[in-house]
Amino acid sequence: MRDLDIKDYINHLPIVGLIAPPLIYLFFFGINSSAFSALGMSGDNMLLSVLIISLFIWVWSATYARSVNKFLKKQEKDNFKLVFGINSFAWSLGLIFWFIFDSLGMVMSNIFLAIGFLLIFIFILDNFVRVWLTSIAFDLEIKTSLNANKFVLIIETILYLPYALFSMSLGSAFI
Amino acid sequence: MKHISIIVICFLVGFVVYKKFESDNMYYDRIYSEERNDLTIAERGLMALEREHKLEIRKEEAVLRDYETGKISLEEYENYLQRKLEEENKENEDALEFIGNLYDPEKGMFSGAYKMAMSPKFKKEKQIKELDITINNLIQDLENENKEIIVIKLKQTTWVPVGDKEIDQEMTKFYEKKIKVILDNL
Repeated sequence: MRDLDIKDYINHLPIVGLIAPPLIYLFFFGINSSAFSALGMSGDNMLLSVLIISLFIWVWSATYARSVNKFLKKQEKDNFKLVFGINSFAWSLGLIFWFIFDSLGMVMSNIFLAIGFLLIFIFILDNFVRVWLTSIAFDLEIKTSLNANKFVLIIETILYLPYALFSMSLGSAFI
Repeated sequence: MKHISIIVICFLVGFVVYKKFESDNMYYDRIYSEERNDLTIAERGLMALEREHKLEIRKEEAVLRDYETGKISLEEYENYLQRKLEEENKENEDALEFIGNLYDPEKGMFSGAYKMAMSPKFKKEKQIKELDITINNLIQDLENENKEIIVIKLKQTTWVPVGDKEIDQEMTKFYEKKIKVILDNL
């Protein structure tokens, strides 16, 4: 019964993945509108920025989805929209934490260390959600889900970990 | 239908944020109309802080009006003021602590680079380069300077401890040997 409930929510992931990036950025710009307006950003520019950033996330998520969907096609479980939704949602979750924990840099005087921890946290969260949701949505074992997401995980590792480790070493985490 | 309503909500949020931007821009245009484009980033930052401050004052005035019209009790109003004072004090303390720790060599933002520069391995590399240059220069000076002076200078060229017992022992022996070979050849 509980599984069924989660699956009901999962069916909405394609539309959630579609609207989450623009909504998150609209909230972000809305909260900081006085600062962005002071910097000279108009309402039109703000909407254009939201559109460009959202397009970037959608295209990126679609690229990831294509890779995962190829694997799922071999198992006759392919569903591009759902995989796109999962990836876009995982990205959006990372963005939310990026904005929430942005203040961490202001709390920790060691900004480099804060950025390093934040990147590692987002990397783990993003990929955990991605793998977990893929496993639930397509009735796969975690091992198979990891296999389906292997290229995504490799790209994410290349994207996040070097920056995180570099930032942490600047912040004296290894000395 | 569900999807359409979600998209409508998305457009509504966009519209509200757009209007907020318009209102903020109109406010800045009204106050800094002529020189707004010539302002520096720092001045724009101050402009934003001033705007936030004014919005805060407006909020405080609204709470005061609520108290005056009897919408909130004296106790609630005092609690609000007390909470606000505590928040402001905490913000100031945090800001002072943040600035104080910013350049701290142990936990500040450049502590990694500082510790790296102070590490024995880094000091070792630096001293090797310096000593090698000194020795090479002394050998080159043989043509111009008195040999005895060069010998004295070479004997004075020793490894200065960098704080790591193993490195110091190894490098002291290495340079003693190297200088002995040069002196023997002289």
